[in-house]
Amino acid sequence: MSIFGKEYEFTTPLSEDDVRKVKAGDLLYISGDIWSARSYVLKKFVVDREPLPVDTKKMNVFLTGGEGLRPVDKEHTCWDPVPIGVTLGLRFERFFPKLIEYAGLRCVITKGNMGPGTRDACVKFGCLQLTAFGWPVLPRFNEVLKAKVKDEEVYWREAGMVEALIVYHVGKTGPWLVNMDTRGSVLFNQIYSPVNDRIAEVYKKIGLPEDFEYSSLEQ
Amino acid sequence: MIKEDLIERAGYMAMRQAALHIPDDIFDAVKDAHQNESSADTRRVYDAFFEFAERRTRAGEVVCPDTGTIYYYISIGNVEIDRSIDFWRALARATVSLSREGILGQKSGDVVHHTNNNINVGENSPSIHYKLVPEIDYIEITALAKGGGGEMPGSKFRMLVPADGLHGIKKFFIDSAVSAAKGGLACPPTIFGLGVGGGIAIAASIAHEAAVLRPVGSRHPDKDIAAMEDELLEYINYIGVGPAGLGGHRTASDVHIEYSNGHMGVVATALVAQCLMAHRATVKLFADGRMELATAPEGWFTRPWRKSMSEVTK
Repeated sequence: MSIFGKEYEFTTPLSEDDVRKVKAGDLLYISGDIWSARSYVLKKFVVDREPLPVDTKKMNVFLTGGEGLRPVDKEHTCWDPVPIGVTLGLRFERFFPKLIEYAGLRCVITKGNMGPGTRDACVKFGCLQLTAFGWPVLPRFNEVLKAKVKDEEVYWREAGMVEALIVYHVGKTGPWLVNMDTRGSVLFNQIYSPVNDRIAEVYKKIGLPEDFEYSSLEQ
Repeated sequence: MIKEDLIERAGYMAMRQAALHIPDDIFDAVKDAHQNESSADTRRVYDAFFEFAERRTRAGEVVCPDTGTIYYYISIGNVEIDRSIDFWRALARATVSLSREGILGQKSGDVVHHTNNNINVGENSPSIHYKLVPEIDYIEITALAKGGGGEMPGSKFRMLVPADGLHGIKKFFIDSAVSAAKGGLACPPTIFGLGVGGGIAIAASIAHEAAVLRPVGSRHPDKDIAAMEDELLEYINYIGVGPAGLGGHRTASDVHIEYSNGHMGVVATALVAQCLMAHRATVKLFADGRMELATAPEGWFTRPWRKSMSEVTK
């Protein structure tokens, strides 16, 4: 049986009804306004509680990408994103549950799996965690940008362009793969259900004693 | 005589190639994995990858924008060079040029002060590693722009002791490689480099070199180590985390092991992952200024102890 489910097309802002019908394994295409940021912005928003300079009720899809920006003209009035690829989500796990709650997000797009905090926030607040279909660079993003990134829509850039809050106007980005849905299902955990048994078999093959523990050097 | 401007040009050529082209050995391994994959879902993901890589390469764009941490590995052969060359300056200039052209991303910054000048140069960046290799008659520069997938979730270290046994080392590999590959974090199919022995600095650097400098299919000259490379490769692929972490039979393109003698109580063990995009390329620079791309570094794993052991122990 395929791990991939239905395909959906949504436009931002996504409604709670939109995301509640989606299941782990489904593939999403999203159009509209999307924003990206990394640790610098997330800490400022979630920990320091500085208000975001963008309206996340309207722009309720967040991407961990942002691989930097290249100036299009000498005056730096607008920017071309370096081809986008979402980045590892687990390093933001500390921020995500509160990010989803405070910003009212319906989708967070990251590379790979997230932790139980994000899973629970997805269920509670009606949000999906998406990952790339395949490798992080595969979903169409740059190719479907409706316009260059405007200089006035790059915020909080003190820590460099990769860490800045950036707004993108996109048409049909995707496919994005739903990892966590609003019912608490996690696609990667389903895929890995046979993995632990196989690891146990391999442990036997290498002659690992069942009660093996590494020698501890901590004191 | 080789002067500084030639080092800059060779470094530029190597890093440009590294950023824009997936190395042949790795691309061939991915094609082979695609052909031998039994899962229809995984084949579908590979199809999307090849379509994408071709489109990006045709457009002259980086296949993966995560050009990460910037490294140069330099083997200086038996060739006349200007002794006043500042290698860091030359290679930093190459790095800045490629950053300003947008070929390198803006990923290497100051993680302590959390600042980024967007041109990938600063404290110990680019990171440069040297060897003097009298057996070759050229300078070999390998450029590496290492993405975060291989560095962050894909790299682990543990200080083992002899009581933990060989199975302790193998368990470390299995646990670490599975963790790196899950969720596609280290972008599998991955090359895993395992470094054992010496101490923390030695184990970590030989693990890194094993992952990023040895081509797919290469085997350690010690036959026991080569057999262990095959064994661990079989295990990780049997476990089935799969390409992009979506399940399937090719989690690793290869496993490379390097080891070092050292303090007999210290079983320092490190794992480093190299992602499938593997931004690496090698340029040979000859005395007459000629530059040539090579598929993999030939002047790095010279293992002088294997050649001169009997002589020094006479």
